[in-house]
Amino acid sequence: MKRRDFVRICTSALGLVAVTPALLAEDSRARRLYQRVKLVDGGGAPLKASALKPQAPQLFHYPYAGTPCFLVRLNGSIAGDVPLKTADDRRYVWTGGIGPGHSIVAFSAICPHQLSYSSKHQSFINYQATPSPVAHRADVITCCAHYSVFDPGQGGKVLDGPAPQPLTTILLEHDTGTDELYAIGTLGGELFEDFFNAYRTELIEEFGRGVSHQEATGTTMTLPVEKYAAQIFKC
Amino acid sequence: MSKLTRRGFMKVTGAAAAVAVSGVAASIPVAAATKAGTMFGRRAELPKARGPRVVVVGGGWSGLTIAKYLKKEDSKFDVVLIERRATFMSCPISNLWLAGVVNLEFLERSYLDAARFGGYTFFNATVMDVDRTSRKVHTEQGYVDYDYLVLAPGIDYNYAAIGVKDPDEEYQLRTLYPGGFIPGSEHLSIKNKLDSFEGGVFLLTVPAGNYRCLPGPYERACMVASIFKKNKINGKVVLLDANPDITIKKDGFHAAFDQLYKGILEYHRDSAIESVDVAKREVKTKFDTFKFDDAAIYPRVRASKLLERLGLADMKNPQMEAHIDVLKYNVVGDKRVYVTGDSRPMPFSKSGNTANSEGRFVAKLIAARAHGKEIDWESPHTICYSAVSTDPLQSISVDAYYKYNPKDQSFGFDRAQLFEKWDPARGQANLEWARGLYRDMFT
Repeated sequence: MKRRDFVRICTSALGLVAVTPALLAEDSRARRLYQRVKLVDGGGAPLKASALKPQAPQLFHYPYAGTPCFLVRLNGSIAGDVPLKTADDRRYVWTGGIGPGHSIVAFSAICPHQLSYSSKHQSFINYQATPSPVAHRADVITCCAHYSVFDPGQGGKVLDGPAPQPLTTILLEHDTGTDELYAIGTLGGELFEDFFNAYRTELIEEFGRGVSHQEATGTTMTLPVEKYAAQIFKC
Repeated sequence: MSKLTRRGFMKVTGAAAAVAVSGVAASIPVAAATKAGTMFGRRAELPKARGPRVVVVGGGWSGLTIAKYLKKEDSKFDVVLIERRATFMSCPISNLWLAGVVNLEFLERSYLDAARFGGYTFFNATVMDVDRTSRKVHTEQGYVDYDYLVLAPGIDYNYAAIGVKDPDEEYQLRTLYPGGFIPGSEHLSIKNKLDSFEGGVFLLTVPAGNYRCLPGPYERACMVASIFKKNKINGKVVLLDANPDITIKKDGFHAAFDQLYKGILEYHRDSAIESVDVAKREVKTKFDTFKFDDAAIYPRVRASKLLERLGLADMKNPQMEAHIDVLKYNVVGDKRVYVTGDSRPMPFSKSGNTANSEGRFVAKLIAARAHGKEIDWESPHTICYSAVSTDPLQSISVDAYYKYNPKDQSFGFDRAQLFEKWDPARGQANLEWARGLYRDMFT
């Protein structure tokens, strides 16, 4: 598997939103750039950031063809500067929302506890716009397999439950000229290697042999979660 | 807690004479004594230790988790998991398997996979004794040296506690009406009984005390009743509970009994078994006699007899559980030896998720201590789903931690949440819970 440490932060001509001074203090191993991949809808047309409905989660695959991620436009502006750390104590600073009103965030849809993920059959890990009985609040990502609760407005921070680290952030880029969105890398602890080990047979069933661990390139299809997963579990 | 006689394993030569020291007659290592001079003096044929060796005895949920997480905590550890079974079979989810929700492959897993992905050594052997002075674990295939030892041997049954004291009678009961909470042949036998049941009373029991899997017997009653209902078998489940009421998820189970299985499931509280007549197929409680056509009789639970044999059990504890530091799991006075899982004396739920979360803490603790550090106690986490119906699969659940009260050195529930209204989503989550933990232990 190709795993690249962060190389340069200013590769992109568009630049990243919110490069804070705090970033300089972070563990460089917490941030990795992958292929720059454009988010497109089910028909292949580029997703427009301004057209995303608040609190309506979307699902795309990144940085590999078989690793699912959530894209959510939250209510209001989502500030960054959230200090977080991985299970093995690597510190990083979450950079907040991007796009219109700094409201769009993205996270890997793989639970850092026992790797429950969004497959086409079912998704136990989900964004919940309405109050969750487990979390006692709304606007959270819950994993209903073992009741972990994450805050998408705080970099996927663990609010409750057994998860040992925040959700992996997917780094996004917003082209203000075209209003298009790109996924460019990850921030925080990655679980892809464990994920590929744990789901060999399931990933072959869903994507075919040799597909799921290919790095995503070009475009990635982004669908409303309920259109992607046949069963969605909230708790 | 009583003070225990602690023995380093006595020299095997002249073992019979040496045994008197402990005053615990039952702890005579008979097999060990007779094997003196054969396998006992020989080192087991295993790869050479490449770092501090931690031997984990018992490949259940506790031992498997600790073996894996020791390697994750410190890759320098040389971890050997000793287990007498060649294949893992899960007790959690086994009730769902009885009712045909999942197949046997869901429950059975490979120790070779666990060891391969976890980076440790699997040793398919039976532990016979431990010498804590020279730090050796003796098996029927020779001994293994250890720097740290974790004993996670699980439970045994205590038939005397349900009035069965004659060994012949106990054998009959173990064979004809197995408890079904120590996975393997017991479970397979119960499945065969259910698959061939033609009608009448199927008796199930709930023991007193902190038995393995508190909701397990109630869930099993629901699953058996669901089989009768689905297949239109003219049968009735009679559930005899030694306790004054359902011990956990009370509202959920009562609702299931009343709403889903009325007329099929008969629940009797305060009905501790006082004797069993195998020939007449009847059990006696204080006030009643119950006849049955077939049964799975769950007697009281005690810690594995291995602990008693090693002199590490607290024999004043009604379940003969380990004499350990309740916050740090080490045998009192010996920070090289730990007891975890269902043999622990703490009143935690004897369940898979509890053992798994506890195991992660114990691995972290041993790694810290190996580096001369100490870490604070962390609560285990109990997540426990129980299925109440199969078509569709629907479950209820509980999610809880524990807190320690240093004043009276007791534990109580902390942050407990009950979800007692069943629905299909929780049924699916029940399965995903298990898949998640199997992933943790085996991949």
